[in-house]
Amino acid sequence: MTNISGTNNSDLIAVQMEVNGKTVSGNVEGRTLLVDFLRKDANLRGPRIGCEEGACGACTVDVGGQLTKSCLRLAVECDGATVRTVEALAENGELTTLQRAFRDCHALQCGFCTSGMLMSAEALLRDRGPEPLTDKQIKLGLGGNYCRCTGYSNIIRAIKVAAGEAEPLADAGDVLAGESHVGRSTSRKEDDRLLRGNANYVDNFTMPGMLHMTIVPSTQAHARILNIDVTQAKSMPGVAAVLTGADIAKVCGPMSPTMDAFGFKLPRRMPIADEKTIFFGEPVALVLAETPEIAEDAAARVFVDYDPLPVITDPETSATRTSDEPEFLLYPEWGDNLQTHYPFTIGEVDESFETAHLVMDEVFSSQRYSAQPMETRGVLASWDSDQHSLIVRASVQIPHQFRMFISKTFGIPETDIQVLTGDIGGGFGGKLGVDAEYLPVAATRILGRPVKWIEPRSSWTRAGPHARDFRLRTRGAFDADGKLLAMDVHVLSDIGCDGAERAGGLGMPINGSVYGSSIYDVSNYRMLAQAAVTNKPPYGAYRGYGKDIANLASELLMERAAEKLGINRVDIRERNFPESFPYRIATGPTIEDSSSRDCYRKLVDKIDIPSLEQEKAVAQANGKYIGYSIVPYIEPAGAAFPGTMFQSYESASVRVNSDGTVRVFTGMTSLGQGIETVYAQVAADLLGCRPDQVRVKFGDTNEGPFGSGTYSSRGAMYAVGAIEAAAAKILPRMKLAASRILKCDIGDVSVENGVFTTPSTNETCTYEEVAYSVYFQPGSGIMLEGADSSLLEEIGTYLHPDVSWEFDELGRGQLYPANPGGAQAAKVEVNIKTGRVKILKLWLISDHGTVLNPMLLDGQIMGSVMQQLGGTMFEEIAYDNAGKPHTKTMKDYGMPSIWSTPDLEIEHMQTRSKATATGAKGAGEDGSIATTTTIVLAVEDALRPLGVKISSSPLTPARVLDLINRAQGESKLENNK
Amino acid sequence: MVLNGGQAIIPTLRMRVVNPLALVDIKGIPELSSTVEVADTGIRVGPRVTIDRLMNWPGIAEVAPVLREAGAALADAQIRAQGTAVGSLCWADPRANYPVAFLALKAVVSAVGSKGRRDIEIDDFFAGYRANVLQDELVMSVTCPGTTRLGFSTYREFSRQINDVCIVNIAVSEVDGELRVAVGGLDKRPQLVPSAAGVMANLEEPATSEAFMAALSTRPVAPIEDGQGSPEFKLALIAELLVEIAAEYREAKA
Repeated sequence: MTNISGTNNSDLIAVQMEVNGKTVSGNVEGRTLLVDFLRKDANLRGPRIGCEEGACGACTVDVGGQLTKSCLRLAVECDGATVRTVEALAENGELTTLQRAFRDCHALQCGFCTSGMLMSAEALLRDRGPEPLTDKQIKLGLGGNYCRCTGYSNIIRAIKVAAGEAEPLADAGDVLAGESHVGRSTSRKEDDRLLRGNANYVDNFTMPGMLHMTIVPSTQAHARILNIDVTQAKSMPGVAAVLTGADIAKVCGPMSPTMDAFGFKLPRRMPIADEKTIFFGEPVALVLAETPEIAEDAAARVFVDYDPLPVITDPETSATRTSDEPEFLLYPEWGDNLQTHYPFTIGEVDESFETAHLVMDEVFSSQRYSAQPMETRGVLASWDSDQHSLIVRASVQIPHQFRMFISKTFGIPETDIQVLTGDIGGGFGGKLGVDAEYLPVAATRILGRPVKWIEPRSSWTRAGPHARDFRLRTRGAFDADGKLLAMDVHVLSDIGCDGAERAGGLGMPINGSVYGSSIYDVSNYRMLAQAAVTNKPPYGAYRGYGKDIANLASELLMERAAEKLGINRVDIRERNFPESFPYRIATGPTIEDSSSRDCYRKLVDKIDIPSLEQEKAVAQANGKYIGYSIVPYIEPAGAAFPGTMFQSYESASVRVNSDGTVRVFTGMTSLGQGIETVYAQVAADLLGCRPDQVRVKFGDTNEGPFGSGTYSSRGAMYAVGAIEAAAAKILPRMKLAASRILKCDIGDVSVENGVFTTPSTNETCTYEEVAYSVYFQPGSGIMLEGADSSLLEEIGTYLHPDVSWEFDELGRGQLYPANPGGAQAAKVEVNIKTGRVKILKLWLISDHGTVLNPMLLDGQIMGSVMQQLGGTMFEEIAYDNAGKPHTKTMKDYGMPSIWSTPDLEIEHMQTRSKATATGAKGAGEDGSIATTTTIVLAVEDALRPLGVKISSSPLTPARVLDLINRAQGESKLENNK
Repeated sequence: MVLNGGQAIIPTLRMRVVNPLALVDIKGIPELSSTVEVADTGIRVGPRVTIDRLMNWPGIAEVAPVLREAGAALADAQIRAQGTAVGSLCWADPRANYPVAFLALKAVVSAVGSKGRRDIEIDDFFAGYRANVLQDELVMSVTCPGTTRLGFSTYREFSRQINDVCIVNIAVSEVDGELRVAVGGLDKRPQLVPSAAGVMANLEEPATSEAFMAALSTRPVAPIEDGQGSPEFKLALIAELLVEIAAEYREAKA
């Protein structure tokens, strides 16, 4: 959206362009951006806005044969120009070679960036010379397009495929008789619309009479609000209303908590500051106007008087505050600043440490960063008081629970609320929280007109949910052989203003300490998880969800103890693996099988340690510093926490329609995981039909049963389990009807790829014939007589059998039912003169049980590796002592670009899960768990001759060089002694 | 304010960092050339020449590789296609690619305004952080020395990720047999560092980072606060880039 200020912009200018072969004219303001003209006047949906600075490239189009970001051109500059957008790519309705290559290489997930990506790729292919395309050329061509989902490597491959220089990843050809659809690398169903620029992200929708909402953010991290002067803003033409906390309080109560469990303290705040602000960027007023531009103009004229309060920015200091100093308590009624203080001890911890041969005491802290999906948050809410109907389109991962939260927060009966999600431009946990999303709902409730809010990128960065930002202290007691005898893990997270009420981040420090022993055998264990509040935005769920902290907790100990004890680093891990599986870890959860250990062993063989050691030695002899690392990891999946939005079940509604098509409605949402494809593969196998017969629907609370939503790598277990449950009831009915058509015994009916047969007569009938016979000719009364139901429709649910909400007498439970595992390795080179870390190679072997769609699973792994690589190396939201963020733009933030694509090799093992019918375990977070550990340990390995230890991220050149200089300074001091 | 390629100005306007009374689009002015002249007498770059066009202009890679390399390392394909080299110069961000490149090349900026036409030596062009000495003037051309006067030239930068915003950057060019080393990121404006050029020009002994650090220490350093590291760190990076360039220079001279 345009937010160039525009005091003298009232005169409209007529412009005309040829857009995708059609003449489009309109009257625009001088400041109107080309992208807004294309979206509004040319009614296009492909060019999208992911930032305000011309960084993300989602708006890329072609103007007069030149590639351009349409947010970096004014509409008036392009008067008379010829514009091509993604919508013009397909020829006669058919996807082009390039578009098909993207589909068949899984080069897109959420699809938000894809329009721009395709335009840049098309220009690259058009302008290329006769030689084969190099990776560097591709990166030069696509460096201006950010993708948060894929990790770019499949995009690079797709361009090579389109150039005829590589093979696609998707399985070609039909499924043969007797083969299953599950397990195939099927191209995604969702890609067709995403590749054409036609997806239904929330910003694509408008309604008659709709107002645009802009948030006036707090400019004080902690302050009393003395006065809000809205008179100037209110009097501006085109402004419908300016609302403050006092107005919102008339319709809206405290936010309904997303996590109300484990004794978490709750702030009980409204989604807008009323008496005081608690973070920089917190909403203090809302402007509702006819256009986003006017709303922005008016927001700049809302004047707020603040009376500053002491600002809390350091979590360690915050954690020590008590009720003796109420001025330093964010919520004085809590009596301290700890939203949770979660201790647990088992076994003889102190004794083990006292008698141990070696005690390791290690620390690691992470900077603050966040999920940063390409699509920011957005809501279009519409209240109709005559109909008692509230319709909310929103980019959220949990539509049904959002409906419940709205009901509780506003006191509106749930029946009157419909939540629609449509396509979501990435989430990664970042769209599990709910706070500012309530504000358009409040505004429509007050004003009775539809209200739309699309969050600017700077606002997401400033006020959206943040993550990581933890301080880990991990202690380990070892015997002389390197056997771990006891662990003591302390995780303190800076959770900003809240990690439970408006955002669900509190599980992260808890997971970090509950799973701190990873897959290692240690029975004496102490942990403390603490969440300290500060004057910063809330702490929200982010992919990895503390399993990253847990992995560091054990692996830092293993690696550094091995060095101290002179034990090979593979050996020390082998000595600490449990003797047998299933293995119950000290804190309670049971690791069901040895898959993580097995992946580790396989990866040890694969990376060829002797040759890596040799490479290292040669490098060192030449003054170069190369190092490697290899660690196992576990990915606790399918979080099920009582009293929180992380619920323990999922639902599905499955229906065979009269035309023989199958509709699957899932409670999950589509953020790019490929659920429309994978669930169709599953349903096809279960129902004996073809995947193309199956349409998977989601994200409409009026359409299906209450569902939990998308989080915690749960779909392959929970959503698939629910589909299985429903299909298991429908298939016998279909077979019964088919047996009546085929005039045979039901036991003699078999079905595959949508055709029923009976071997006795070789007669066949189709899914469509059978379904129509049940619905109409002659009808269910005859065709399903004697069946358990007259319908070809069922609701299925799935509860994972391995969740245990009953804690035993020692306080042990199991809130993640599955622990898929794997191993990861890294090879890096460090330039000791500049501090630059170059990631030469990453390897990952994972075991998620049965792989439902290998191409899509690899996509999840590549994407998560890249995200965590970004967090380890670049990404940061930095704050000063006044609680003011330094990080404003995507470039400041350090979003990984295509130039940072690592060389990553992925393999799988497939140890079937005993708990699910398909044998699949959850997947989706692999790379988020051990990428930081492997990079950190590989850098330490490279710098071992210098004795550098890394205790914080990101590994910026400045920080690494500083560590090197310090280590060299110390060794010089040693030598001088 | 003047709107040329707009790739730096428009985001600044969108984020409401600047709020000009008027924005004048100069793209339609026929006198503002979008061509490059490469001749013995000089390389003349028109104000409408996009980065893409300049990089790929026949002869540029051979005569003044610094102009091509600075472009290739600049942002991304979309911005290279729209943004202009002269615009990048006028925007005068101390870490931008073309300010250091033109500074190393000893360019002359030819401007016209209400008081007539004047030529400004590049050494006098920068006035501060994102500021230049132009009054109510438009740049008509930027002229670098011609093929007969130019020798070795190159561009290097250091950023978190490739083609990201630079932490520091360096352009080096040999003009009339004299080496010019221009550095960005050390100060509010791009700087010439003759002492570093002296170290590089001395082919008697291989230039070391220590020698460059010593050369750099002769001048005060006031880098902008970009959260990317301390002044000492930036100096160390510059010294390392200079060592790389010096090796390349020695090879070219060998």
